[in-house]
Amino acid sequence: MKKHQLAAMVLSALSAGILISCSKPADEAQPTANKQAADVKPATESSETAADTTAVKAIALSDASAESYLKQVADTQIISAYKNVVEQSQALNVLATQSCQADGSVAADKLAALRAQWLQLAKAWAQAEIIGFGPAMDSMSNLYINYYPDERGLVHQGVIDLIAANPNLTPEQLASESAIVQGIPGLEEVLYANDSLDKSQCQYVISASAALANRLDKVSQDWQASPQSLLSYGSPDDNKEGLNRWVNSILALVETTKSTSLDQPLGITGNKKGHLPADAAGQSREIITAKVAALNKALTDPALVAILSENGQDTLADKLSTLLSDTSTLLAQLPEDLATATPEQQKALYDKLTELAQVVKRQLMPTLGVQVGFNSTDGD
Amino acid sequence: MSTPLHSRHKPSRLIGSDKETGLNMLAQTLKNTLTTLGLASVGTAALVGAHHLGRKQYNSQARLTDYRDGLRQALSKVTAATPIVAPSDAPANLAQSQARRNNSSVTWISGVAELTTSEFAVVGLNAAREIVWQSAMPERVHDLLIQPLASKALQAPHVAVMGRRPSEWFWILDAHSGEVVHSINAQTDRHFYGHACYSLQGDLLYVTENNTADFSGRIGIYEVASGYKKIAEYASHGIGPHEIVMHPDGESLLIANGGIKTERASREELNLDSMQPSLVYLNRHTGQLLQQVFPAHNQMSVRHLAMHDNGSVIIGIQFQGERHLSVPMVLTHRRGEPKFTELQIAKDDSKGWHRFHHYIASVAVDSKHNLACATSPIGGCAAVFDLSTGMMIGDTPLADCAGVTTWPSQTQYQATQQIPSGLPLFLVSDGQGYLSSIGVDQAAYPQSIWVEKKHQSYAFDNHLTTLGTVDS
Repeated sequence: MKKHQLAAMVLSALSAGILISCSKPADEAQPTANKQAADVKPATESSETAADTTAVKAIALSDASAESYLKQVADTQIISAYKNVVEQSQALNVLATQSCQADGSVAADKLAALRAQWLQLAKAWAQAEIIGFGPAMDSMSNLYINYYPDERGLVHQGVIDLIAANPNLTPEQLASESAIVQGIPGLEEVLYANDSLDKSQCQYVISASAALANRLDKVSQDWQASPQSLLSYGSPDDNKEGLNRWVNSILALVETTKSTSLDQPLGITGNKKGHLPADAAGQSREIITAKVAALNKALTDPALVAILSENGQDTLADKLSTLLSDTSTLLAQLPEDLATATPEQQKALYDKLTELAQVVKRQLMPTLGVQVGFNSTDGD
Repeated sequence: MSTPLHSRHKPSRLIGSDKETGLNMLAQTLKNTLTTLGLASVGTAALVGAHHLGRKQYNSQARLTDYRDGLRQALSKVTAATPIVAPSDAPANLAQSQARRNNSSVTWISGVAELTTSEFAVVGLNAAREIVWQSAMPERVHDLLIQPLASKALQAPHVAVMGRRPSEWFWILDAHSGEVVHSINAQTDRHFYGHACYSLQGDLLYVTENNTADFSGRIGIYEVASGYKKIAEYASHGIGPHEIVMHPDGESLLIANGGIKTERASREELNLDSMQPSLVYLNRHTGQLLQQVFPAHNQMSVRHLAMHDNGSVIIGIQFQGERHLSVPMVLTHRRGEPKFTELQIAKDDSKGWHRFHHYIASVAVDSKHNLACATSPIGGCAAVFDLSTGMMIGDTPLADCAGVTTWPSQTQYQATQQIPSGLPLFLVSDGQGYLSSIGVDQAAYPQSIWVEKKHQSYAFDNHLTTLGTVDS
């Protein structure tokens, strides 16, 4: 072998080695996005590459526009969402009370109606989860409404033990019990783990739905009484804080839906962890669809679209609308239980949500002058 | 005596065949060089191409430009941060320089980030909570430590800037200017774990590290005089050492062993069921274990510490257990005590410890007023505790808040709005860009806290450090 050929081989190996070793950080950073706690807020660094990162100039949003938008968000997206979930919980309570009237038990035919109403309630709450702040979230009180994910399966045995120990459970008694035996998952457990309900199970459904309705009604009343302070709007500083809070909350729902509700339970990018929402009911698609519907309502809100349009950002508004429409279409093609979808289908849904997160984080938030929060996902 | 080299050379004037031969040799050398470079380029392209195809199998988003970007990133680490001085009202572009100096004194230092563009920096802040200087960083940073100096008049103290856990780097900055003085790379099989502390003399830096081979916690010791050369290492007596502080006696180190094995790439916790966090006291000269204290629940990860002048330590917990459980999130301890002391929240306070959502990001202590402050970004609040009674005085909602430190008592306070009474005692930073002063309204009964905010166009990272006042 000639000297220059030998030198070329050595140089090739060296330069390729340097380039390959330099590419490792990007590879290693890849799974970072997948780490999301169940109740955390927006993502930190992610698998999203910086390639699509271009300097986005914030629009000049006047205080009047910001305040008007936020007021509208409080009325049409927050208060209405809580009103709906209160109505659904009360409807379940009424139905359970009626169904259990005769001999205190529920046969299979009536159980189907209870299950259907439970699903309406679960979907209503999934939509309300876009509001990641305020009285429903303070001090982890959301756990009393929806203890999800239940990684250790505590709800199942907890509810069985509670019913066995308290066959005549009242809503007041239940309200003082642990979060794991309350709310939507507790009701799901009793309604879907049994083919019919005996008297004590019936009593649990009546009490659990009543306790949940009371809790949700308190949240709804708080929001109706103080939307300005809970969302934060009115003064210029408050408007800035309120806009930050709301848009970061939207991003948080995208991130947690893709990570906690999809990626972790299905093991799309790593090891399986946790379970799908409404797993016992086999209705995970309905829950994800409800969350996407809430995102669609927030991100295609006419008031938001008008703000973007007035500032020459129609393309961004269209992009968000198209992405959400594509995601909804994709979801409609999947089976009710997302665990039975093909890995390709699951990955396609995950990718759509990743794309949506990128557009919200890298385009919408800078356009609105909103800072992407990060300390809450740190783990340090 | 040997002949000088130049005398052996032929005369510079070449004639006939000599000139032709020289040109031929030059042409041949050029040809060989070009051939070598050409072959090397083809070989490099082939090897990188093969590697890229391999990467594509498990990473569909892998691109050839990753190699170029990775090389740039590596080069930026080697050259470390470029000092940038930016006015406080400059746009939050952390990677570009603004040639303007804000001639005021640095009072605090913080890490900042612009997550939409993945840009990171360290900033110096003055008493008006405005940016004095800004230094770009190649990665997200965590804790920042101020070097104690025997004589402050002689030189500027160093600021040790720790990379976010797990990191292979820390940097030493000049506190006056923000200029990078040293870039320190972790040794093989070691990652830095986000925190460090100086000896009281400022001659040694103690760094929490992880042995990547066996996940054992280590304390690396770096000598300032030799340009932060690693001179020794101790066992931390636990897994996942996070914050480390120096005891006021100057002789012992306190280490928060978080107890969690974390996989580097995914940051996934690998041992949540079997974790065993602890607070450790070490002799700083010998590494001898002086005392080890374990929390009541094995999933109460001991993460953050703040040292009181009286020798007690305030501890911020991150609970890794079931979410419906309520555990104390702020503890205290003094060496020799057999167990931790839990701070208290009034029994009629319905939010209880759950207000922190099982996550304390940082703690600070005001020794003079015997108060402690704890922050929770997930809970979206900061709370002040009276260490005399052990009770929480009050809390305030602060979205995404994490950094907390004290207000130097001699620092002039420029409030942006009317405050109830007294002076601010703590400064809290958050990811939304607010720097919030927190004080205690002594006139109120029972005592309550007040908060006054100032906004900057930056997301402030987890930790905030008080420098005192350093003229820039």
